[in-house]
Amino acid sequence: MPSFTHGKEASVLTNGYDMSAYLSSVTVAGEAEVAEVTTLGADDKAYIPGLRDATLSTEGFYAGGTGDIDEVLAARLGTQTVWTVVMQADAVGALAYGARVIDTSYEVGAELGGAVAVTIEGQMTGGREAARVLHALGSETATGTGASVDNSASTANGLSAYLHVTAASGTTPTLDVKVQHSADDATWADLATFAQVTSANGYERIAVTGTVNRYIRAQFTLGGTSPDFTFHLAAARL
Amino acid sequence: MDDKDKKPAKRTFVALVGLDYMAGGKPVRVEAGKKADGIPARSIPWLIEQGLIKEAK
Repeated sequence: MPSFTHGKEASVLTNGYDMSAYLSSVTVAGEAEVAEVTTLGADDKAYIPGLRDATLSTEGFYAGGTGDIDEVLAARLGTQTVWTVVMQADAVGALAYGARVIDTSYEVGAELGGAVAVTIEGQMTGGREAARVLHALGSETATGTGASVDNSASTANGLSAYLHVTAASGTTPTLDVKVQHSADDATWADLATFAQVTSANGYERIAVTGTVNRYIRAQFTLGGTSPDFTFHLAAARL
Repeated sequence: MDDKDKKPAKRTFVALVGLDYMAGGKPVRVEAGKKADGIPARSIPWLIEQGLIKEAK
């Protein structure tokens, strides 16, 4: 029997913020265009594949405090943002979607007898990328590595990676995050390196080309005095 | 002494990207451009093939 997932397990991160506590639904939609190539004499219409497209939509509840959903999302309308959506329990190896999204709609609505609601719509640019979680959202206080994720085989078309840092504390704390890959799960080579993060709400999508070996993992280096970073990392083979 | 009795020459490598591995039971971190000693033998072929290390001269 397949292992189904309850919707409550999903989580949503955008631009270094965890929005899961505000949202009640999230949809990542993909579609593909076709071009008709039916010719004279044909009895049936014929098509060829065209471009793929993807969108993101979420619904949730309004909160207007500092760092709450309204402050984070309302001001971003019309800008390109970075999203990671995990559709199952957030753990290393879990499937996720990463995307660059232009926020196209932000609605706030109030009705008598109900909670004030928000709706966010976004247009993905560059498509949705099927990723694997390399570091579930959680705190780290020391340099380390994540568990390895086995793809069973290497791939040849590069990788994109999505980092969200939702909290940071310490004295002049620094966080350097890399994606490493390995052909044998024994020796690890740096594959993709994020810009150093020194404060909360840092985020970045990076991409590399070429071979990505069978195993990938997170590697993180913390600096400063008593550093404590809460972050999430996912990576998609392209 | 026969050739078969000679120990193989120790090969030394330079990392062309940052590497992490275990050597002598301890984690080793080598930055790009630095000498990489103690790379696990099984890793050397793929690291060379992918241009991630080169033999030191």
